[in-house]
Amino acid sequence: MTDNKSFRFKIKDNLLEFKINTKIYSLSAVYQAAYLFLDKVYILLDGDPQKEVVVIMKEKSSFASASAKAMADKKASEDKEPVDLEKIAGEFYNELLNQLLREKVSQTNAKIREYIVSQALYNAVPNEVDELLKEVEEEDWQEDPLGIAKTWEEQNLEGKKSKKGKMSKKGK
Amino acid sequence: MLDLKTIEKLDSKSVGFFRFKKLNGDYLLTNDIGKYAFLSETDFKKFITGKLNRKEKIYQGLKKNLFIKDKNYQAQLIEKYRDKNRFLKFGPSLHIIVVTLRCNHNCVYCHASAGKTDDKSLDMDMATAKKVVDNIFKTPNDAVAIEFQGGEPLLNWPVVKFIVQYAREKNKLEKKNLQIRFVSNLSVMDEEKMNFLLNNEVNICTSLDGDEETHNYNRVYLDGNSFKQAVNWIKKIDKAYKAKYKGKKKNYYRVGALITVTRKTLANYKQVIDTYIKLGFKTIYLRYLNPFGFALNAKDKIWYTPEEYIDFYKNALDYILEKNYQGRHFYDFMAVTYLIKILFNKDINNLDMRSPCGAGIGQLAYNYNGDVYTCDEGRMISRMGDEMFKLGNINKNNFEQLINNDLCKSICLASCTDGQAGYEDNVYQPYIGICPVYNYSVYNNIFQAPKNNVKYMIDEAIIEYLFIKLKNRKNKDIFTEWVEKSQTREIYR
Repeated sequence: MTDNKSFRFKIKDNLLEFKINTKIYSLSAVYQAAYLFLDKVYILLDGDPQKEVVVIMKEKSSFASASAKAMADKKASEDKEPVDLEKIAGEFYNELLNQLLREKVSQTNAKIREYIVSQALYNAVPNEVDELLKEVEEEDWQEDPLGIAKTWEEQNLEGKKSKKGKMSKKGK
Repeated sequence: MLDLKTIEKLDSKSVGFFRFKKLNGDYLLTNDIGKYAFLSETDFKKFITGKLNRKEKIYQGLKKNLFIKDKNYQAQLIEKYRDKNRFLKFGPSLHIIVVTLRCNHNCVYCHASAGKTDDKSLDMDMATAKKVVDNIFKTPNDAVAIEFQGGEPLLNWPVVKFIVQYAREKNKLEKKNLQIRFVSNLSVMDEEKMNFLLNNEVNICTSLDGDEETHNYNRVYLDGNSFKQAVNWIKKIDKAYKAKYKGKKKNYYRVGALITVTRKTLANYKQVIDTYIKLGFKTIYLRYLNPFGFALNAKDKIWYTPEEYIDFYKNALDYILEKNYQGRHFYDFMAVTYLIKILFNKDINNLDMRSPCGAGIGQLAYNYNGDVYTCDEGRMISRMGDEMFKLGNINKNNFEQLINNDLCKSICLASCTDGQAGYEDNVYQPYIGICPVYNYSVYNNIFQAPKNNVKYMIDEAIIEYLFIKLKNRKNKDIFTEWVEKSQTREIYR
């Protein structure tokens, strides 16, 4: 069994185990970092997400990188050296820092990115609402030949005015 | 190495969004519009903590490439992001027509699973051909490229002729930017057919797998020497093109050539490239095998591991660069596709190297019987007995029904790298593409994470190698020249 004090990980029976303080590293950074090792090792996450996550990694019996149907018969795995779990642990710690930075950069720029993408694509793709508005604008309803767009007041006021006009004419 | 203190001091006011990776000792940074920068570890730390000297070249470079926020940051990013994704607005421009599935070759890797030469039930009829052309012109895209694929289209020549004439006639009214491309093994070409194609400004493209030994190993032709036939016609057509357009066009057409890299090519890469150069080609397209059609049945004869292909590609690219150092202008089209994204931040119509890919929204494939597929690869899967990527049939469905459906939307979603695990944080996200048909063929799922994905592994390695090469100023100048020269040949849509 290897017990590395400075890095605090254990290796026993091809199992690598270490703990991560979730007050320093966010859970999403742990998930993202773990994701990057899926092709090399099997990963189990355990522990208390509020305090400390336990990461357990197991070496894959064969490196399954070349699993494509057509390439399966010539797996690259056959010539690969076994996975060095101690090295994996070190790489995982480094990757945690990378993920932490990625997360921070992503969070601090989330709103501006959303705005940029929506503004860019809003004008790039013909918008359904814009199309409808354009159609409506092109229609001749604004001419209102039947006078149905006028309010009651407008209709009656106009009616009275014209009646008055006519009457006054008559009166003259 | 990064440390917690530096990360905590991230200067969110000045640092814009970026992705990063440590590459050969430096940090490689990319952003949403595809700009890139290399920073030493010291400068990287200064950058994220906002401590770079504003007068320094590094700061100015990062600002210009929109890694640093200033008053113009937002407006410029909107404009450039729109420009990078402008293809989203246009609709399908590439229309692949299979006028016959018959072929007179028995290529070991035939992705299309071509049928026997005498099986005329695999031919497209005139009525279907007319409906196909009518449908093509319904695309909202102003740029239309009709591409004849096979089978061998020369075996159904009357329908080819009809489509070319009808499309040219129809375009007099439609006034689209119409390109017609003809992909053939040229084995049954004759003067009359050649002149017809030339007179109708049809671009001719053939398969050329390199030197005679490699080509004839891959492309089995029982009625003659496939390599000699192809080369003979390449020379003849080039000569005719030159004579026809001499003094009229600055860049007259040349026969295009496509190579499919098999196990045989790996060791012969120098001979293959030399053959292309000797024949006067300016480009080669070092495409890897796809897991479709007959290629799946020829594992021992033609397949390689991804690592073997990647080694081959690096060797071949180095050899091509060497030729360029010696003054020969020659490039690989796959490299140029990525370099256009990296250096010019544009996406060209190389549809399976794009996000989202071109299936449905950028291209449609029409089979001999009128069946319509998301793409040529989808049509190849159909030949293997699986209609997963069939959008409909030209006799039953109109243009809107073919495009506006769940299959088309699903493929689009599956090929979009934004927000997908493994792609979203990836430093190469602005450049990489997903092919859902490839994923489906290999992994039985149109969604497949990059980890363990062979296509991703190869694409990533190629892009990474290009970045490593880009660090050298001389290479960067050569790459820029490749991109500039290639622009005169391609439609940007």
